[in-house]
Amino acid sequence: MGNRKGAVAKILHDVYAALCNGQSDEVKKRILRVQISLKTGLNLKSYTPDSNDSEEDIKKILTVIRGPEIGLKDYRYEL
Amino acid sequence: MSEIKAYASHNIEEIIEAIKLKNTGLMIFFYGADNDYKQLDSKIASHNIPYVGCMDAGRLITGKYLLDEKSIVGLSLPTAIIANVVVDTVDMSAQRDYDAMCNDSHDKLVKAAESIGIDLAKPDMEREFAINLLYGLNSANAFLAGQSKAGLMLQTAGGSSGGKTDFKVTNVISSAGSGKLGAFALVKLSKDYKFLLDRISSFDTVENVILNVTKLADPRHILELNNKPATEAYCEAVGIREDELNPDTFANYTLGIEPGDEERLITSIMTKDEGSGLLTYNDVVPGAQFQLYKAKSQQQDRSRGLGKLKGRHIVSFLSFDCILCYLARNTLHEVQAIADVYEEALPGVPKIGFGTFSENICGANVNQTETFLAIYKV
Repeated sequence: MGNRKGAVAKILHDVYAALCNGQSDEVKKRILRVQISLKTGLNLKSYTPDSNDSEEDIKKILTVIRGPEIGLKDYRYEL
Repeated sequence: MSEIKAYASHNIEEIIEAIKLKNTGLMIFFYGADNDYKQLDSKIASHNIPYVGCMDAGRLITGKYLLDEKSIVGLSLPTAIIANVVVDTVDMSAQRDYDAMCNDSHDKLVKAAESIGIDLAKPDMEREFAINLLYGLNSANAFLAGQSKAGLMLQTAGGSSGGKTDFKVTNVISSAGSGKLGAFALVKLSKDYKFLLDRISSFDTVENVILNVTKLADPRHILELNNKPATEAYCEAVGIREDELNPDTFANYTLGIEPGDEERLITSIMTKDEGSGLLTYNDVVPGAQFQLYKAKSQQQDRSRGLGKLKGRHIVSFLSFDCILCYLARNTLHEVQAIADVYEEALPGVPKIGFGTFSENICGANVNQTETFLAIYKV
C-alpha cells in the first residue's frame, strides 16, 4: 500500500471542523484525539502535515471516525 | 465552600452524620476491602440521598492517604452546587457479553439525560458531566463505549473499583443498586459552579522504542510485539534478561500511546503469562503502536498538573488514582509528600479519592494515571 503526505492531519482537521464548533473546542478536540488513539492504537502525535502516512493507518482512522461513537458515517476521503 | 464536607472513619453512620448537609445533592464514598458492602449500602440507602461509592485499594481524604483496609471516606455536595443528579447502574458481571453491557450503558445514560434535561448531542461542557464507578474485575470498555455512543462530548471521569492485590473481590454501591455493577452519577451543576477534568501520569519516554502489537490472544493478552514473543521484545526494550523480569519491572516500565499535546494513554502490564506472552490491565487493539515509558517520582507532575487549577475557587476535588500509583508511592517513600502536594495546591479544599483497578476519563480506560474532577465557583 502507498503513503499519503499529510493525510491524517487533513482528516483530523476535517473531524475537528465537523464536531468542534462552539464552546470548549480544545476539550472536544482532546476527546476526539483520545477516542481515535484508543480505538486505532496509533500515536496521533506522530502525524503532521508533512508526514507520509500509510494507507493502513488512514483506513484505521476512517473506520473509527465513521463508527458509532464519532458518527461521521458519511465522511469521504478518497484513497 | 464551607458547606462541603469530607470525612473519614471506620463507622459509616459517623461519616454520614459528619458530611450530611441540610440539602445534600450527592454523597460519594470509598471504602477499604474489609468492609461488608451490603451493610454499608443498606445504612447509606436509609438516608434517601443520591450516592455512589466503591471498594478501593487505598483512599485519599483531605491532607492524607489512608492505606488500611477498614476505613471509609465520604464527601457530600449540596444542592446549591448540584442542580440535578441522576444515579443509575449497569450490570457488569462476568457472564454479560460486551454488546449487552454496551447497549445497557447507552440506554441508561440516554434515559438519565432526558430525565434532567441534558442534551447529550450538545452538553454544557462546563457544567454537565458523569462520575463513573465501575466494577473493577471486568473490562470497563463496554460500559464506556456505550456512554460514548450516547454522547461523545459528555465529559466523564472515574475509576474501576479496587480492593486487595489478589484481585478477587471488589464491588460498587449506589442509590440505584450495589454489587458487580457500573454506577454513574450524571450531574448538572448550578449556574454558579463549573468543573474541570484532567489526568496526570509520571513517566519519561524511553527514546527510539516502538513496540507494535503483532499478535493478541485476547484484548488483554499480548502474544507478540514487533513479531517476536512479547516478553522477549519487552525485555530487549527495557534492557534486561527475561529471567530478570519481576513485578517491579512492570510497574517501572509501562506501555502507552500518545494522542497528542504531550498526553499519554497508559496500558500497564499485569504479569507474564505461562508462556512468553504478557497480560495487561486494560484492553489492547491489534496493531497498537506502543511507546515504552519509565516511571518516575510523582511529585513534580502532580504539582504541575494541579497547577492548572490555580486561580480558580475550587470547592471540591475528586481523585481517581491507579492502584499502581498508590504502590509506587509506597516504594518511593513519598506517600505523605504527595498528599502534601494536594494540600499545597488546594489548601483547605475538601478532597476525596480512591485507589482504582484502572481509571477512566471521557471514554478512555487507562492505567497508572490519576484522573481528577475539580468543581469550582464561578
